[in-house]
Amino acid sequence: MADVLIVDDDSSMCELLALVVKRQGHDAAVARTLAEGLKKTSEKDFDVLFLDICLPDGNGLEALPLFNGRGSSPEIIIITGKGDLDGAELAIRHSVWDYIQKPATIQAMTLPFLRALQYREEKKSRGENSLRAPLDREGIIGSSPQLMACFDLLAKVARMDSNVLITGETGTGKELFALAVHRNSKRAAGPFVVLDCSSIPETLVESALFGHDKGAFTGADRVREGFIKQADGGTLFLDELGELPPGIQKAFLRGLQERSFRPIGGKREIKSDFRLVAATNRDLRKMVQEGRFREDLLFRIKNFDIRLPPLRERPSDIVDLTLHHIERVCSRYGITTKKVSREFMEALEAHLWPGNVRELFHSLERAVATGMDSDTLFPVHLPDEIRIHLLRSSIGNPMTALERRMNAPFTNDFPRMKDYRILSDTTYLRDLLARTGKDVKQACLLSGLSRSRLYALLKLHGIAIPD
Amino acid sequence: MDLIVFAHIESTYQKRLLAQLGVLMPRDRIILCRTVEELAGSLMRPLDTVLAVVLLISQSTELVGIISLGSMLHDVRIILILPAADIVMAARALPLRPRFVTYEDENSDEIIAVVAKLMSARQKQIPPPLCR
Repeated sequence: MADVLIVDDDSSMCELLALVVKRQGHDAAVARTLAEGLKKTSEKDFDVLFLDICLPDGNGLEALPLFNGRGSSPEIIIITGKGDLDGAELAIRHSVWDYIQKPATIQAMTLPFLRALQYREEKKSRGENSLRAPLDREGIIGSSPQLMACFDLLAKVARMDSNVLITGETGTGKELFALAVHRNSKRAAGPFVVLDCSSIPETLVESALFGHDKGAFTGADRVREGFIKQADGGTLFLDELGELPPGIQKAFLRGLQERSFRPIGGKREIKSDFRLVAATNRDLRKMVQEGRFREDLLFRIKNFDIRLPPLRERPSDIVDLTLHHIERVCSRYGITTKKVSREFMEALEAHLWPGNVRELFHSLERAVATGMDSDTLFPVHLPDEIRIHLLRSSIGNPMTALERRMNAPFTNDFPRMKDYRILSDTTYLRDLLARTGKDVKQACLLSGLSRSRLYALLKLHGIAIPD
Repeated sequence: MDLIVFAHIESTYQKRLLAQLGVLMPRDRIILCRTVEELAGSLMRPLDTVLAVVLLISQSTELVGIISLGSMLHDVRIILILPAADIVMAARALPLRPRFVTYEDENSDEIIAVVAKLMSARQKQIPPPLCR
């Protein structure tokens, strides 16, 4: 008997779905809001989840990573009265089982439900039950539902030998994920060869990929083995695939299809048993439409697509990433690992990180270097550009990271009053300096604080003291 | 943005390479390291100030020493120059995940082209400000 949860604020729909479930001999529970649904999935494992999109306290699609991240990873069937293509695409990307538009007949709801249950049973019998398969995820830090969904997909694709495309903004960790695909595959003992198409001039890419024979061109004084051959028995990682020159795409497609290629100037075919993992931050479909990327190559590469979320979509990972990287940097410098003040962490959480994890890591490296003499890192140690951005954003939008967290749905981490006061004081002081253009005299007048008290508070909250 | 060059032995190739790199970027931006310890020391800084690390390897012992630096080199782009026609060493160097591999008996113009491409790519990489 399976356990099913129906998350919908429409009581007649809930009754209808519960009837469908019970008629098949299974248990049905109902939640009228997202918060209630999340609470129920945290208390009990469900096999199937019917999820409405428009709920009183939020959008069901946006909560998909949270439901997917639950221990049992239930099969999810979306039911909605407001179908749209983008929503359907988002749902598919989060591996939902089906997307049903209301009004729907009982039959239209029963069939996907039974299929989802059948799939679930087969998965369980293969041992892929609620527990996630152990993964070698060295270097990939975080446990947000968004990242865990990527790991689930990674675990599936790593076992296969298909080509994989990893997409995501710059700095999201595509190379680390590619390495994780390799390390968790049956090719793990083989080589992992990287060709970064954005680092190599167009004129050298062909030779680097395929190698060349002696005399193939001026300067080719001897035979050179290309990356495709070097990846024999292992994985070839093509980074920034969108930069692969159009003239080489056709030859590479052939090599990919036949796992054999001809070096430049070579007369015979060379075999190479490699698996391709490619990554890009470009929209390859758009490039195909613009005639800049071959459709057949995209089709061949895109057996599996892992989309890595930008850091702003998984802010709950910032703390882990920060602590991990600070330890790493301090170890590189041969110094004791620095402590991190709450204000420092708040500042990191308030930033959107357009350069993603790479930008965060670079900022932390600068913070460690700037705060070399300090045991604890404060916001004052962050790069100026980040502090300025935070200040500017706080002027236009004075909501602090803490306030955002408090206002966010489904959160249980209501702060202690002491913490809240510290943060509101920080916001006040930042706003005060912004309002007065860092004029201390004006700031004292406006706030009613004495000069010494103002300085003491600025120091306490790690805010740069005006000259 | 600095370019770190590791070359244990002073050779004609290394001199020519440094001269060519000197045309591409200011000489004081090129940091020459003669030992693995110097290389490790040169990496004790924010790594976004490092354009790339060019490793001119002449013996397998140097490669072993560099690989032993482990994660210190994970966040930098590596350009590898190996002794002539040493495919075995090329395979051993794969854990460094080099961006480009060439050999000492090949045209050093390739290295210059790769460094130039990296410089131009780095210029484009600076993300626009984005705040909540």
